[in-house]
Amino acid sequence: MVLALLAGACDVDVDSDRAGGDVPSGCAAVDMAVSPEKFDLLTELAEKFNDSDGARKAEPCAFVRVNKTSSGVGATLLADGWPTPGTDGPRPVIWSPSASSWGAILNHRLQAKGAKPMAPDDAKPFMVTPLVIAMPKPMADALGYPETPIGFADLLALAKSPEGWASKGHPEWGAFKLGKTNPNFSTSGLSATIAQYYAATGKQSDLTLEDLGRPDVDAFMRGVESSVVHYGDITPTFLNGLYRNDRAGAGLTYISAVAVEEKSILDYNAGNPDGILDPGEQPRKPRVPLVAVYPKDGTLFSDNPFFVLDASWVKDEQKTAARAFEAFVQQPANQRKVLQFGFRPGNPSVAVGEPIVRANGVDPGQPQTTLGVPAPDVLSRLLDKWGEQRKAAKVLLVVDVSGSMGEEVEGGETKLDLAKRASVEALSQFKAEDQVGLRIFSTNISPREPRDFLDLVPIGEISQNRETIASRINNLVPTEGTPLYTTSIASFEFMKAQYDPERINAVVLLTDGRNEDDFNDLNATIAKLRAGSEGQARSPVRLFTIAYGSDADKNVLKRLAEATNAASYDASDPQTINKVFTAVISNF
Amino acid sequence: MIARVLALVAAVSMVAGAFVYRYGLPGGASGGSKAAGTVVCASELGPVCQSIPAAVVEPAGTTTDRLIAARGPDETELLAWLAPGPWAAMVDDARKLANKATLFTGFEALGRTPVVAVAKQGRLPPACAATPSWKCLADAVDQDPRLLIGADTPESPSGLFVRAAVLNGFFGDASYASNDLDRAEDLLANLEARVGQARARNATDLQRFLIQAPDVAVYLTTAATAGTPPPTVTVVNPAPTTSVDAVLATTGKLPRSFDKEATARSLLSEGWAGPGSGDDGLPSPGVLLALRGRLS
Repeated sequence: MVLALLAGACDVDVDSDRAGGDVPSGCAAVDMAVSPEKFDLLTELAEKFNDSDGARKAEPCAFVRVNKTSSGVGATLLADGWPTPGTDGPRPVIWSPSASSWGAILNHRLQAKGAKPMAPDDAKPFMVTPLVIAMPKPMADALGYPETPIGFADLLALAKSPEGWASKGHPEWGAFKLGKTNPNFSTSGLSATIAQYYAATGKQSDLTLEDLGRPDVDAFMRGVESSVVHYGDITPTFLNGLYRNDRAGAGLTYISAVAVEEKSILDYNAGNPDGILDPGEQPRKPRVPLVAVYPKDGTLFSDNPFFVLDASWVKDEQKTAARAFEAFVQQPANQRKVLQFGFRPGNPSVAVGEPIVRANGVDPGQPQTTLGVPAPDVLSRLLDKWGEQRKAAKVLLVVDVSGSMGEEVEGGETKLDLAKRASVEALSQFKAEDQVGLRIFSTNISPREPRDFLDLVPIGEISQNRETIASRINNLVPTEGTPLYTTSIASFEFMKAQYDPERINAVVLLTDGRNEDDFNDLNATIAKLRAGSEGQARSPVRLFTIAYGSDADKNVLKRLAEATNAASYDASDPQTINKVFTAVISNF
Repeated sequence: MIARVLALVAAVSMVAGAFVYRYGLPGGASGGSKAAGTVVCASELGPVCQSIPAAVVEPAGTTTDRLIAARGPDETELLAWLAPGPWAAMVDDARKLANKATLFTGFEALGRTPVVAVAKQGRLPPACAATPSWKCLADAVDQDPRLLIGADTPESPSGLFVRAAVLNGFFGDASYASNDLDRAEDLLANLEARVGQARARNATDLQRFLIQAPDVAVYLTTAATAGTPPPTVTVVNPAPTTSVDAVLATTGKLPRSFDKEATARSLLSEGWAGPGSGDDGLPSPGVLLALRGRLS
């Protein structure tokens, strides 16, 4: 189960974009599958390599093509023998996920199938970046960092303090709020969870299954997780939210700390929170920069290994060509390029320099302690345990059953059919203690006021009502119009009224349309949601929206979600709804 | 036997379907078929497209979506595209964003027309009466819910560019970035609300605005579209001037049959001015792309 989840994990997106062009006749093709954050850099280096004498005059000549594949997706594809090269890109000769742990996971999965390992254990890191705790500078200053080192235990103490930031002289910042990505989906989340376990045990390597079972370790983990605002599938979920709040002058009330890679701090402080400058976008520095806190207990590195695969489709001449490219990227001149992207060189002979300097919120002299990657079986158990220890959620699922949901998509099924199946499957991702309820909405769907929505299953523990919710979902039929705004406000206020401070409180709203109601005032809707979410809201409820199908009002749904410091998810292609539901539920 | 016939029919259907998919005429096409080496002309340019032999005529937005979706330059079989505004550059930006090869190698403006406000007599917002500017119009949109402003839908070139002009007023100039658009969220929402109300009161296009929409004070469009309006309205050119170029974008060599001079003359006869020398005053293509995405 855990490995299945791990295999589904992804960094940012699951597109397999590629660059490199056609392989010259007679050359050994070296196809690479690389995690998205290094696609641009490796594409540039591959072009340089392909033009070099080393590649052209080799026997046979070598030609590298780079494909973008998220780490978790790559692990899944490789474990399955990379079955659909037409869709997912060519079978790779080199696989470069964001961290070596993915190689261990791949080999563990292959071993479970009785197959031989594919990822060699001597892969060299191409570039590295440590996991850090990002904190707004005034908050790091309030904790006395860097003079006073900070570890997860310090954050736990602050999170447990009933005074919150008032204990540090800043009552205006409210409670300590931690942001963390879901370790089943994100390398940062996985590394942070490992680092927490090491902090809980006092170890720096060789984490064991016995360690994971210790009651004191369990209590420590639950304590840290209890301070989490909500989880997320990718770190930009938090960084974009923080940046948006910062631009509005409210950054310090959104989040106190978030576990990210050091590179993300550089991007954020440069005014590019998600690390990608789209056409038309310009970096705008935040009002309050972030500081990288290197946990005093130690941390892990994302080491971006080059796995020259021991796979049936890789020929010896391709391995030779792959190693030539690996040697090429390790050359100092090429290693210095990784600095431009905010990473540290994988070749230790190349010095760390700009932009990894203190003025940018990071410290090239840190981390002092590097933690060991746990063994694959420990890693698997650790994720199982995290599933039990993570903060519980209280979620209202709100499903649009307007007439347009009855439209057919491919295969003769309706949009509602696909959404029903995906939402029922998503129920399995909640843990037993999570509380979930089901509301549907469409014009005049309720015989009584308010007539825009109907509560089919009251909020209760999913262990008790999973079957009821699934059954009610399976019986849904499309009806009339889409009272989006009234339902959004009512659902948000409903959850605020029964806010549970021990849980992540949220609404997940799925719709395929636009507001079709007499109440059509978007600004008033946004204002109400914002008013309930601003500043030190005592009862923060987040409205996660899913834009389902091509007619969904994506921009409006994004605004509704962002007004509550949540995120909107795009399922314009109805066939992606399963994947999108998985991403949404990863917030809990 | 019947099974074989059915299989044959199915096979033929699939081949025909694939052909239609591959070479099918885009919506609204009035010129030649989309055979190898096509020239596309945006239908928003109206009669100007008739000056281009065998041009495929379709809305700029339709061409944009098709070219963005194409896997590579070979798939488009496009030689040139004439459209009002930097649509070709927007396509290339969108393709870069998707890690796809860009399509265009050359861009040439054959004509220019300013974005204007067509106002009923005495109905411009008071702050705009003496010195019309995009800032006073943006302020009026934000502050006066009674002001009904008409505009084409944002899917159309004029609709997109008039909104960009209003944003110029909000930001002060056209140097804003796509990530600045969040700051204009309320303005954009208010503008869409005003335009929506204007459409509900018959101002669905300029002609209806002039004849059937007494409640609507102002219609934003281009000077070429406005032409010579009746004396009951005035056409003002808010400062700073924001213009739309008729851009001929090419993917390689322009076909011999394309007569640029004739097209330029046709633009002039349709109310366009000659090519401008300075900046058009629009934000960057990437910003326009992001704005289009927000408004779609």
